[in-house]
Amino acid sequence: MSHIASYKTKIRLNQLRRGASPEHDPTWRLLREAMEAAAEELGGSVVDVIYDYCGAPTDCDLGLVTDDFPRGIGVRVNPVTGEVAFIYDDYGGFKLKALRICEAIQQSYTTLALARALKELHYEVEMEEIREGQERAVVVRGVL
Amino acid sequence: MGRRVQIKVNRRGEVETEFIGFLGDECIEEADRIRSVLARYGLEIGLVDAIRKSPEQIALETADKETTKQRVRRE
Repeated sequence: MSHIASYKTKIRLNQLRRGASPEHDPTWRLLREAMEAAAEELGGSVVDVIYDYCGAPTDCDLGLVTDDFPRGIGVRVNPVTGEVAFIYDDYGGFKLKALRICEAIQQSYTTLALARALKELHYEVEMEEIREGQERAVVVRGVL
Repeated sequence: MGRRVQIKVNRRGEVETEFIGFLGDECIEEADRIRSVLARYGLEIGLVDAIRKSPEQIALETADKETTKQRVRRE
């Protein structure tokens, strides 16, 4: 049987042992790669501090700032559950711009994780960016 | 035709997968294997919807594979 299926996705990083470096964990490395890929796509950069409406800094595990939204989107990882949350201050009409960055990060992480997983399962993998209306989608193809 | 997986990732990170050329329950097993490896890469996936392909579609996808198997048997 072959089939077609749709899935929702959720990012959940590994819990880091006390004192362990995030750079040594594959999920944390993947998050950084996904942030860098999203930054490249949106013309932004990866940071470790973001700002609120008043200009006050807020620490985050990783952040992404763009010209469109210089306050930045932060990513915080729950140290107990590994769940990823986006933090940002969209006050003043920045809701859509902030959402656009969150979506780019989510899409980037999902795409990279899928490509890595398929490679690990010995697929030959290729990726293609496509447009569906105004929306960017990525097709990951694996051949055994 | 070999076994293939095609996965479309939309902007919200939702994915649509298509398994091509898998016989019997192979694609269910393969989906489970992929899901298991993805979890190690920090990505949890939850099924929203699944559609089984018709026997005609599967026959078309696996035609080359069956031919190859028969050739091997004959040799």
